[in-house]
Amino acid sequence: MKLDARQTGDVSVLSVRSPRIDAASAIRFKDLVRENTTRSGARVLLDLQEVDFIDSSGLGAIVAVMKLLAPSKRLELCSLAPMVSKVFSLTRMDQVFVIHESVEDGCSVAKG
Amino acid sequence: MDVLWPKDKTAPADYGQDGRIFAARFSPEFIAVRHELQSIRTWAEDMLSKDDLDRVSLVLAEAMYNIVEHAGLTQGQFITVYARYALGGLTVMMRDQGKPFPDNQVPAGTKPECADFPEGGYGWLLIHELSDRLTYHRTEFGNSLTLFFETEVAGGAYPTINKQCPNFSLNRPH
Repeated sequence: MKLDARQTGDVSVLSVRSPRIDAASAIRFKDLVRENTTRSGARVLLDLQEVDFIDSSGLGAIVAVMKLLAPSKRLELCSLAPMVSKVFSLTRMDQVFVIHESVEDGCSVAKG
Repeated sequence: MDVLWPKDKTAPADYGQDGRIFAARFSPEFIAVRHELQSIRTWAEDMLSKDDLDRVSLVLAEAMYNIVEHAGLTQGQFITVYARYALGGLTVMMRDQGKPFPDNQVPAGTKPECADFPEGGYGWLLIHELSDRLTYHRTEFGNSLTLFFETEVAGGAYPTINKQCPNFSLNRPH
């Protein structure tokens, strides 16, 4: 599990560099996000482009991170693969998170 | 092979009377589960569509990780997985010697309420939503969970006729 962090305008972009967020990597994922958002701005964009598999533990970890960052910071998501997207819709978590098509979309919303 | 597979007339000739079979036994650890998930995916790759492979992979991951996290298996105990593909469907049976489910019933999996954002409890929801049939038996040997997936057939050339979750019988427990 690896995570790249960068600042784009006022958005902190976290790109997951791992194909899976699952029960085996959920705790490491949470720790990495925590470490990389201590000085981030009010909007954190989690880029899932390289993730092709997420299970309920991975989903739970993303929900945990959202709760951890709130209320001062808001976690948004982008670039969901079809199966990842399906997990979010089946659990209705697509109603909870703001989900963007791409990093560019997520960042341009901030400018607008 | 420990498993006596039910004889039926639905198995395509290519896979023989018993269909195509996968069997594995492994330690109740995350890393071992991940390895077996990849092995099953590789085994099933040329039989299932991408969509079916994806949902089967997710359901099996949920069910196996659930055993690792909640069955309370100790060192020297194993998870056993048998999978059988025959025309129209994939059946996967998992056995372990761990604790039974609460009330000896598979958890229902409830849709989380948006208001409280629980961090867990999505696993069984996904298992129920993405599998086509599920049976659970608690025996003197432990837990036996059987999952059935009606799978797409390339080109829709064959009717889906294997609608029943096959009965498994073992001549040896493990």
